[in-house]
Amino acid sequence: MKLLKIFLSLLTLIFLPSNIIPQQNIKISSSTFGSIEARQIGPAAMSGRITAIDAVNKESRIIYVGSAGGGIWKSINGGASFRPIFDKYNQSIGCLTIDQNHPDTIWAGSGECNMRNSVSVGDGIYKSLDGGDNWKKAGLELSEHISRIIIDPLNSDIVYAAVPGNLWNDSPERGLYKTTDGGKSWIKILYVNDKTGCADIQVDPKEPGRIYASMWQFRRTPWSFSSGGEGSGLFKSEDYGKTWKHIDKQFSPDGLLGRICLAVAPTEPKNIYAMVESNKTALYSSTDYGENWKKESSTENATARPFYFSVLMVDPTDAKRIYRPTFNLSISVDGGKSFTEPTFESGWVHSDHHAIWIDPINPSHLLLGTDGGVYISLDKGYNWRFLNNLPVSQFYHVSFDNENPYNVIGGLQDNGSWFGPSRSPNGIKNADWKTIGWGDGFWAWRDRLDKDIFYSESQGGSIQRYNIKTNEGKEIKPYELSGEAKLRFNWNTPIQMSPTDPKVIYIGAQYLFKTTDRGNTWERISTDLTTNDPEKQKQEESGGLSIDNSAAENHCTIFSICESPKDKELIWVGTDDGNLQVTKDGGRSWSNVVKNVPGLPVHTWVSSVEASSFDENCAYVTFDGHAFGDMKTYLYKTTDLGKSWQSLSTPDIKGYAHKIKEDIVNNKLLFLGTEFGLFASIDGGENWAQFTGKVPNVTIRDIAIQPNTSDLLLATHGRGIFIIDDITPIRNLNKEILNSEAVLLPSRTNYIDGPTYGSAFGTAGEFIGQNPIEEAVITYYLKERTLIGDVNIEIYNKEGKLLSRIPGTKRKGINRITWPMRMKPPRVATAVRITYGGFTGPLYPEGTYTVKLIKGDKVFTQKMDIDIDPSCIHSKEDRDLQYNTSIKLYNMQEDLAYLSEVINRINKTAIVYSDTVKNSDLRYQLKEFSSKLTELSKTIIASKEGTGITGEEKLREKLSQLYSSIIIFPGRPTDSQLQRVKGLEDDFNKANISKDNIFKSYLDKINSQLPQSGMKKLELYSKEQFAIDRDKEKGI
Amino acid sequence: MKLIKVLFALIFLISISGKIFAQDADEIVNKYINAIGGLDKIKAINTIKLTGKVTAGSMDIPFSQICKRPQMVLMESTIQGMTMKQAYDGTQGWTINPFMGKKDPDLMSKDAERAIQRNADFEGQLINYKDKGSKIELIGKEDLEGSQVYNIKLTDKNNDITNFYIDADSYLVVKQNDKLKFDTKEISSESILSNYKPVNGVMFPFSIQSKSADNPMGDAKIAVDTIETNIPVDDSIFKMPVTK
Repeated sequence: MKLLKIFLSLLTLIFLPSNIIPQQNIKISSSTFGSIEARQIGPAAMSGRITAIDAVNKESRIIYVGSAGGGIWKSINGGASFRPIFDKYNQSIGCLTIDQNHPDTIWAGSGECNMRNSVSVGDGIYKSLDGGDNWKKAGLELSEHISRIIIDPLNSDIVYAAVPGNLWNDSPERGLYKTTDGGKSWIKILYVNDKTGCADIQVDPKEPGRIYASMWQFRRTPWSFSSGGEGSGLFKSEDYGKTWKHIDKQFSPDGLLGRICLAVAPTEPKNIYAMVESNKTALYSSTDYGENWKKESSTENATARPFYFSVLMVDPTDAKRIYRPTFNLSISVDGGKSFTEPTFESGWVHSDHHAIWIDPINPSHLLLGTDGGVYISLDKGYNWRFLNNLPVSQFYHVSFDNENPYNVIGGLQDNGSWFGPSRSPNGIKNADWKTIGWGDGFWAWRDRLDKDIFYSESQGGSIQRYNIKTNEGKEIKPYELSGEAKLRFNWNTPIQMSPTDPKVIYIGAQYLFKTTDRGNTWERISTDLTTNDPEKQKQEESGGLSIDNSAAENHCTIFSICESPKDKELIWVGTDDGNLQVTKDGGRSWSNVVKNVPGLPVHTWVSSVEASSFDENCAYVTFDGHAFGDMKTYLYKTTDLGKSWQSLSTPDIKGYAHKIKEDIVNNKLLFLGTEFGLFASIDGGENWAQFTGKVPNVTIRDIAIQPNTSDLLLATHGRGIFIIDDITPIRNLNKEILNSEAVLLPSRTNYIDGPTYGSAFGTAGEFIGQNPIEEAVITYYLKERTLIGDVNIEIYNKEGKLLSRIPGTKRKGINRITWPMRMKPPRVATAVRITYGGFTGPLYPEGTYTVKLIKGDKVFTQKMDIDIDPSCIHSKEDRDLQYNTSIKLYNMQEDLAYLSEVINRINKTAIVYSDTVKNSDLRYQLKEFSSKLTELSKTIIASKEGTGITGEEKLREKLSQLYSSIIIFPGRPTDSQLQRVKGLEDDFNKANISKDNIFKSYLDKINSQLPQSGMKKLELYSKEQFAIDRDKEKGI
Repeated sequence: MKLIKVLFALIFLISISGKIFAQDADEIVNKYINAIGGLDKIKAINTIKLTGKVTAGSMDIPFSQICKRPQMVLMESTIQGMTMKQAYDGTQGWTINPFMGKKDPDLMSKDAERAIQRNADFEGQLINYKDKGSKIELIGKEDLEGSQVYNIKLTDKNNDITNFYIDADSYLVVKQNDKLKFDTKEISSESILSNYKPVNGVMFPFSIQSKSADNPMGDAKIAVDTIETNIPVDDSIFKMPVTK
């Protein structure tokens, strides 16, 4: 009774919602997209910026790696493989610290602290108590950037967090924080002002009441950076942070300091080192706990870019050995008096180093985090091996070509420009990716008229034309005219291919340029479209104490370009200083329509413009104010060419916006990439939901749609490229479907593609990008999760024959299951070992199939198209011959299975009878009958037992080998194979005749005598019964 | 002003009461036990036999599993007419894998033995978890694919971890994540449970979608056809056969 009650209440629960919720109120949510999931294709060939590394001191195989935009990764095997363990949280990592007294306790500070222009924003400190399986927020939510966490070596509840704080605006949330209750509450123990944060901290490992902290005044604007100021300084406390004193008086004659990083020698903590940024940046050493300082080396590499390179490390066993990672690694063996460099006999190590870990048990073992991934050294840092398994690459943009499989193309932060396939035999390997540009990469395209030609760029508008046949790159940048002010190109200069004319390419400086001859000549098609504010053009003075003019602060430049797919004369341009310009006459006249955008602060960066593919008057724009400290989502739509704008931003979206993309088939379907993830709307922007299917909360910088495959391509700034295969089902979502209890959704045509082969040699330890599913995909929608009751999918051919029944998934929202498009494997004869011919069925031919979704007593039906992959090189005639030959061998294997079964079953009984029957004549006949059958059986199936490679080949094995070799190649079988079929057919027929003859000679005779001995007649296993048993095994 | 104060007090009360009445892990486990039929009915099962098939790619593999208290199990799966056996007799795990020509049994690897011990514990790890040397912890109430679940983390006596995701409405287990640590390796898998049906008063999932985090191609769908309870089973079937 009780059970029935539970059952009934469950049913009510399940059915209630559909009754009480009015139809129009169903909103999309992340769960609506259900099992539509992205696949990460990497690459890890170049990896990305690493910000933090820590490993378990007593068990150095356990490594945690924090990245600039790709979250936290854990290895339990010394770096042979990594798993992402922080996908649900902020992906920008400032620091990581393991509590070495409780190595399952991990602290993570979010918000990278290498304060470059493209740095992301964190949301506090996190703590895990189980080695990263589960994380809990542990405060400091408003800190934005956390640079170091140190745990008191004697008390795990006492933790210090250095918070540089906001990069783009004033904030009182900075300084040095301390918790004494394991992160439940924090107190600020050192604070200077709202412009100065805490850059670094060290705790004396032997007397943990002694703390050193460096304070740093710094600020970015969209057009400048400043490191250093009155607020900077180095402080020391002897009482766990209660009171502090300045210990920086000996550093700089004029008193102005920048970023200071610190290292205390673990073996002799009175020795402390500081890399001090000033107008004469240098390393300082102290041998008296920081009371007095001596200036040491100021060599170029060791003192480089203090705002970007902020790590100093002393060997855990040698107080004089110092590591200073910057452009390259500097190593000192004399307490910082001089620095040497690695030999790199093992090859090039990516420049720009931000993290280092030294094994305290074996100090020859080092891990190094760079702008291009993690390296491992076993010789104290002189030679390194690259770990090519961390796909934390930071793309800025993504494009594609129309090859099959298509290629994905894009440029990356500090890692050049690349293209790679969307699919590759055995998965997408690092070696599948090819370089087409160097430096920092941004926009990259393939020429649509000449497949050998790619366009890519490096920072500040250095566009080049790259030929993949000759591997030559030619710079094709436009220049200012003689006597003119110089061209201003953004760090991330927009390059756009025209959607209407494959010859046209645009590039934006302060003017818009257009070429029709592959960049040989550029036509200027606008006046200065920016505000041209001279106050924002002083990049040569930018950097603060250390001048740093790398093009990263270039301003008053064009940032976004979009030509309307409906009208080649209609072009939109957005600038980094907040102008939104549109021309209707190919550039002869421009109007700045940004003043019509309601609720938008002036000068907000135009991050993307998207002209509609459906209506020339319609366009979408995103603005990004984060460089003014404004983290709101700005997303607008116009339907009157910019005269008026409507905000499409809702509270369901989080993060400042980078990219708006309108679908190319359904104009109600929109995708939005923000700093914190991918969002989608199916109703033109009224309602939004985050897309979470295997897409972490990673920055989405760009979105593209491959039209041939309906794939959505995501350029993430920290996790490489993601592909969401076939968005057709999302295109077809509407209110009616959302309200349906269950419904089948359309998918793209499924293609049959023969098996392909790729090398797996040397791939251990490498990241391999996932291929698209090679099976047919069946998509359906369920309004609620089904816990009670079953869901099944059935596939029928056009004659209405059931081919397969597949257990369905039952999650809320979209469900996706796959069907291999193959017959069930043949039932092969049972022998002493398995045979591979029994594992695969032939591919079904192209055509239209019927799919049934069966949920309880409801059946939903839909057609499913299966076609031949367009790249297939085999003629229909050859494919038909292959198919018919496969079917013939398939049937022969099953006929042989029946033959073997009928012999063996009757033989078994005959043996039992011969052991028990009293009539000696009958016994003799039974024995003779049995031995004839055994003899025959030995000619048709392998019978040698044992685990060795016996190589025994009987008819079963010969058939299986021939069948396997024919079904794995989708074209014409060889003449030898076809002859072999004939030969084996003869062998089979002979065996069948032998069987008949044996039965003829013995069966009736024996059967006539058996009843007299009180035994049942020997019965033949019928072919009909075999078919029933076989189909039951096959599940059809 | 007074009204605002009252309102605030109310909000305070609500948020406090939320905490006071927040369910702890044991309460949720008890509700789960009641949802599947109650401890008495579960404990009344002494033997159980499941049959069904595993679908992986285009293959369907028929299987059966017989369990008997305390902690005995025999699993059989058939390919090309040959049957593989995996068993645990309460003290040791063994297997017969005939597919490559060997008919003799082998002792199971210690990590496989840990995995099969869980199958042998057919009532599930949450039932009487304390007696089994396990600990549980409520990680929290969270969204799982669009519905609310309780995430209960169970750490067993070997330090292996299972996360049970218990539906916040029906208290049935929707998903289970297993992480086995053996030597220096870790093996993770995820199972999604559905199609619950009562058998002698106890709810069983007749459908399991299983995938291993380390091998995305290794997804398997398990469909249970029949479940019988308290059939007579001789202990000898769980014992490793003696090789001649």
